[in-house]
Amino acid sequence: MKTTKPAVITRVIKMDRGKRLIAIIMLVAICPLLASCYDAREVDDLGFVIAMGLDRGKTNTLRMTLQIAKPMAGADGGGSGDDLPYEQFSVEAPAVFSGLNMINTFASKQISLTHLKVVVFSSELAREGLKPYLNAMLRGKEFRPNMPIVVARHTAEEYLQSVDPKLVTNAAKYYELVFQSYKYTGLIPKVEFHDFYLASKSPCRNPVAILGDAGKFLSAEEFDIKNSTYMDHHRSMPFEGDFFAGDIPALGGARAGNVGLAVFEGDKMVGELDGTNTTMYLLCTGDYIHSYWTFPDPLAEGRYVLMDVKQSRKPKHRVEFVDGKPRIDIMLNLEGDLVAVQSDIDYETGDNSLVLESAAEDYIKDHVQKFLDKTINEFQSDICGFGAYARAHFMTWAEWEAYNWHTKYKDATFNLTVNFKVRRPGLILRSGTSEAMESRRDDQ
Amino acid sequence: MKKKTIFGHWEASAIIMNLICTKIFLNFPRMAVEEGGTAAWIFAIYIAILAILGFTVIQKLYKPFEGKDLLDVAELAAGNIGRILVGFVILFCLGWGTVAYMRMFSENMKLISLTTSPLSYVELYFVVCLVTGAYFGIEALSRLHAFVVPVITVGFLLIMLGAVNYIDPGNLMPLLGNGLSAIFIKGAQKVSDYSEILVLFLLASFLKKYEVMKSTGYWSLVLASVFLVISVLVFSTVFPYPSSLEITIPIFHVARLIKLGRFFQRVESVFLFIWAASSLLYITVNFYLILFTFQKAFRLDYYKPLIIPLSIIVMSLSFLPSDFAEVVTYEVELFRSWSWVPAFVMPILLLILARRKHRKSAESGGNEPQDS
Repeated sequence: MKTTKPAVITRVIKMDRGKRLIAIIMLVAICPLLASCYDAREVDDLGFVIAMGLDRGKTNTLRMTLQIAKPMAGADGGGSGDDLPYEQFSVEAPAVFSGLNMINTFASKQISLTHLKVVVFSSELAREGLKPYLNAMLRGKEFRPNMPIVVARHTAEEYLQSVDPKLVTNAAKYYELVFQSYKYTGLIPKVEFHDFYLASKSPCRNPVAILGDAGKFLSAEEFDIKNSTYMDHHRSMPFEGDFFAGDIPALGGARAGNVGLAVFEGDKMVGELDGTNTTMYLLCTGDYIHSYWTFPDPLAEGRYVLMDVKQSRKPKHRVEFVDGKPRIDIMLNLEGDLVAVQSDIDYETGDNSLVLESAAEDYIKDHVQKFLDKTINEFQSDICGFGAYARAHFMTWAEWEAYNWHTKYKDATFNLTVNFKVRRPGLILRSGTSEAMESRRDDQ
Repeated sequence: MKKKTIFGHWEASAIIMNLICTKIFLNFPRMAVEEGGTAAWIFAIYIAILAILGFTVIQKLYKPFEGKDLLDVAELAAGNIGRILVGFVILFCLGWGTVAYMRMFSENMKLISLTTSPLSYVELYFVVCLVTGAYFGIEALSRLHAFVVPVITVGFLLIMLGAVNYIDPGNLMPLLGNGLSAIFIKGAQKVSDYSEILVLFLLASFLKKYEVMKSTGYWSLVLASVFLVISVLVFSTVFPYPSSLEITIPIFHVARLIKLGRFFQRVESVFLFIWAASSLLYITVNFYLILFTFQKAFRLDYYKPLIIPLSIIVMSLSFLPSDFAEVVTYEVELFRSWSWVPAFVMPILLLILARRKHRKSAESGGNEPQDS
């Protein structure tokens, strides 16, 4: 019986010598690919850093603190009891990468920064200037451009030590979520390394960083509001944003907290803004999403109207020059949904609604104006990036550079317009209707 | 009888487009910013217009030489010496392109992906590809381009779209950037970024018809300029001037930024894939054309015996520059400042000479070449 060879084999046999040679060369060339290469690294052999803290060192230039994830601690059923999902290492070194070398000598796994979620600088280091460290982060390919930048009001080591996530078992997820809270609190800025670095070198804006600190209260008995900024805002008691990080009278969860922002001029930190001013910053830059606001009731003293305030449209900016000085027009478009009306006054419809809208506009305008004045008088730093709108008045880069925006910003004046609309009344359509009917019945 | 290789308009356009656009993944966006500042996009459009104008002149002069490549035209214009001299010039241009790009691709690959692998190991992959490509010949390469280039294009456009959250059109101000003279006078020589159009005049013999060559030229130039301008626009709106000047591999940096939710991030892996594909195609086609030019200039019967020796020479030459910065300096400041001469001026001069000869021979009773 005649046996037939498979088609592939027949084709190879029929190949001429040249083609057979090429096929052999190609097969040989594929071999190194199958055997992996010099850069092969097993995931299990690497220690993934999730947070990095940089402080001024005692024995060397830097004290570097690394939080390295313990993979099983974050997995379902893994870890035991109160075990933290990471291990913390500290080392004093002349620079970031030399510190990594030193930690690699005693950490059992090779350190990798490819999953780094946050970099924390101490305010001491930030006030001296971050240029030497930013350069390393841009050059080093393991640093991600999306990682948030935090300035710890005391030390970065203490801040990282106080991170003890209670609601998530995965520390990396904790960092990913906690710095997204600007979207629903408005109390921290939106900052990524990419933005921070570009702003630190920009001739038309200055960077900001998230302000963080370890909470200073260990029990409810210790609570106080002496570091609150409520008096600066002319209030009788603190609102939710009238604090800096670490000063909020709160317990539970991770002790590390983030409220407010660190103001920079170039790569040097020049001041801090509290949570309320951070909200105004977000409004001016257009990064504001939504959050709950406490407005003083315009018709009932001592009572408050709470609203979920959203940005209905991005802010509009225009920069004009009057006698060589910048005049900045800002138009904010906001809308609010009623969440609570303590006085039970009917703000849903009619004239009361207009009164509330007008009061909200004045309230916001006043706060934004104070925030902008602070950037001029206290910091002389254009953190909102108005310089980017001023550039359009110049034809060439040389002309723009010669104008020197950073020195002119202190002479800027602002023209603010706030449009506020109460959109939805929540689940109550007419406040106080039943009470009004009851009193009418009593009268009859 | 040996089968004559002929391929179509799309295959040729894909080859030219890839040759011109590969520099998007290397240094074109940064180079445009260096020239134009915030007006880099105006500069990119300007050199595209210059390249299309240059090609218009060349294709009009090319009309009587249907089916002839530049070496044939050089022979018509100046005999054997002309063919050999032009062959040397083309060999230099293609040789530099292959050597410089092989070194730059490998260095960049080492920078972002294969950090601990030796440079020679990285380059070995390129050498294997160019040797294999040269063995298979231009027909296989053109077919490969026809389906890989669309994949590269989709990957590139995905990266550009993904960066939309980071785009700030305000970064394009001041409108005239480094000024009119920097863009329109000093910048004009950077039309050299389109010098790969020279390859079209080598492929003319594979395209046969003048009309195919003409439409291939226009299509590839227009599409390549659209992609080059898009890359410059996205890069200069995401990275404001002058910080954009610091960046080594512009589109890689753009790709690194992309983060759509917590699950869709690290898009640079797409960049690595399309970048490697594009660069391998670039080097392979260039290397094949070196062999083709060598064979034709010196009237050799076979080119295959040259493959291994020339590949070793190319790899050895790529090690000559002492560091990455040196290659970039030679490529950007020297080659990309002057390669417009062999790409645009040389064909125009050759075609004018060849036409004059053709007219003289027609007057004296000769009948070749035919004006179509």
